[in-house]
Amino acid sequence: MSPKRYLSNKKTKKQTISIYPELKKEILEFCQQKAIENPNDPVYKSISSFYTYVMNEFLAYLEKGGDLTDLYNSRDSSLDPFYDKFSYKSFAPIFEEFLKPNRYETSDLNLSYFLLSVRNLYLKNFDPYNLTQFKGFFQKLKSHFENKELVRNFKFDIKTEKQKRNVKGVFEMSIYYKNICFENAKYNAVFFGYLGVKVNKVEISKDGIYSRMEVETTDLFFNPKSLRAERRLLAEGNLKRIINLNSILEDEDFYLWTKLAMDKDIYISFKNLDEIIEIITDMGFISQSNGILDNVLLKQLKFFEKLHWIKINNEEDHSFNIIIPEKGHEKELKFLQEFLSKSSKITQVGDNYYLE
Amino acid sequence: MLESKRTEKQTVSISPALKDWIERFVQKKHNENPDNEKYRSISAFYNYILQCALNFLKSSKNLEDLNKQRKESKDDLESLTFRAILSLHEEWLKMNRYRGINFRRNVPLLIMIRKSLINGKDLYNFSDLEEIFERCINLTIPEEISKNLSYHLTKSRKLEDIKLTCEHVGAYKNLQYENLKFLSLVLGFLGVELTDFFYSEKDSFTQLTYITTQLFFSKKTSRNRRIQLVQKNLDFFKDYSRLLNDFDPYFWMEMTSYDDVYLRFINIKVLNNWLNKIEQDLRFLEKEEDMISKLLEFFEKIHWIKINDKKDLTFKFVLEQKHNKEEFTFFKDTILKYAQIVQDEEIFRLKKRTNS
Repeated sequence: MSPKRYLSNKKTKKQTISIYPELKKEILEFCQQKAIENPNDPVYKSISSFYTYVMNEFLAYLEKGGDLTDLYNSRDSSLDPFYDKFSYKSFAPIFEEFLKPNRYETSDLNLSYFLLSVRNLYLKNFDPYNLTQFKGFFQKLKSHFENKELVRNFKFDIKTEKQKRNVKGVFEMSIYYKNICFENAKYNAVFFGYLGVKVNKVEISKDGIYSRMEVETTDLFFNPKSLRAERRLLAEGNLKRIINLNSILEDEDFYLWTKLAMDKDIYISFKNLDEIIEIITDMGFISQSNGILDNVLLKQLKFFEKLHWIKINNEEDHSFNIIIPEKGHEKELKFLQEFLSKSSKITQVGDNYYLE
Repeated sequence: MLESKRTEKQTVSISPALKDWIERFVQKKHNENPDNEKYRSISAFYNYILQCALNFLKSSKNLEDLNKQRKESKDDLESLTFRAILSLHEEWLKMNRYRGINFRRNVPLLIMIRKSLINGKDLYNFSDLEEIFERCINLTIPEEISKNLSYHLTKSRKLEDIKLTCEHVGAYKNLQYENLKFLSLVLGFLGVELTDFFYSEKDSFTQLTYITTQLFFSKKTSRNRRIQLVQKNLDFFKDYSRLLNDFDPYFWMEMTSYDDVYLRFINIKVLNNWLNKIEQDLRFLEKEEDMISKLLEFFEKIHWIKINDKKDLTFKFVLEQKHNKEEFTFFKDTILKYAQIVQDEEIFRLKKRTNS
């Protein structure tokens, strides 16, 4: 391999080449534009410096076996400094498993600070009315996110003719891991909202590794103001295309139960109430002879509180209210009384019960 | 190609070394590929490279990326990692706190990690052991999620009893918890047992004590024994006492795994409220015609019925009528608003109402 050598400040040679006039003009304009944008960058100080920079980098690339047909597959690192501040190295196959229970959670909506920062980064020096810039912007994102390890495909097709104010497009993304793909689809839907882009339709493939969104810009996209509340509202609507009771009902039971768990007027019961004893035993809240386990009574009360049968008023006094109504729920109330009476005395004062 | 078009001359100043490098490279390539027009002359090569460079730079990339990418040849384990956004993953991991993971699916990965960590190492050499544990910790506990991390290995009289004590103060609650699970998972598969786990959620402080077992020193695969040890280690993270003090959905998720559980509503209004939410979501998605099948899915999810055939809308009750009169009344009152119920012995079928 030929060694790479650098341009000496003192010794230079002239090289004359034949060049297409269009290319020559394009290079000149490009260098002038770049010199204005980056006045301190020595690469654009003169045409000779630019040629030196380009030829050095390309020769090094070609000498190492690089193929110029792969050129456009190489990653864009210009977004790295921003993302490096906010990111860590994660192990994809393990975190794929860890992400499963989060499927129908809407916590992405709470990250408005981060989402607005990303929006500001992406839209800096960006003219939303310029379709060419729009395409370039997605090309840049594609080049940053598409990589062999995680993202297989990242594509945005603009379906709008020039001069139209509202831009319609189709965004597609494939990720090798199902749960990571789903979380990213949720994030993208929310982020589109913060950008001011409405998601009209979402499709996620059956194997879960491909998502497709039909989107269109709203007035918010063209508005430079933060307008956090309005953007959040749009993001909520976008997310609802993915997280809704229709999709939750098609998935595993526990996803619906996590939603119902927030409603104190719903409670867990058992076809065979004796199973409660088995569960409490499995969980280790039954034996008072277990030295490690302190305050068995309180743990038992907390167990029934989690079932939404009672509400603990005071943990120290072991006082509680029964929140399930008596009528129609007699079997649970009878079981509760019998169970708690085994290890303590129950005293009732008005609606309050105390364990002694 | 170049000669057939109108061209202009351009003279640039470049270093003698670069001039020489270009000339030698073009000559070499021309000898290898005499028909390739790009290498026919220095000018043809310049034109080709400059055009590529312009296109590349206009797509917002840096030429340094060309060579950076070639330098980044990741090893097998590295190739499974990706840069994840801290604040996003902190939210996304929240629901996994008390969930077990299907690590059996990841056994090939664990075998790969084990090989990578112990290959070429003498397990009876203390400095090699230090290196193995250090790599394992670096792999599973990224710097960005830690406020403080310290660990040390202690020898005992018995050569095969090595104690690892690890103290970690997390910068993010959920990332800390899940990454410590990951550490315990990998160590378990190596044959290292978690014997003590102290966790203070308030201070994001954990102290973990691990001890090597015979499995650690065994060269055999012993897949099942390693899986058992992983499970044992992960059980420390599923602390039911903490579960009872935590967010209700965690407990409800856990309860769905029991056979005899089902959900009850304190009155029919509560049930109707949820069914209205389903109806609203279907309206938003323009899928109102799916309401009847969604109702059946809802009742199946709360463990009242078992659907036999989704298309035929046939199902069986899994609750006993004599013990759950209220649920039967609620079910019928709700369903009759949307469909007729036809009974054929134990099997029920819903018949859509006709508008007549």
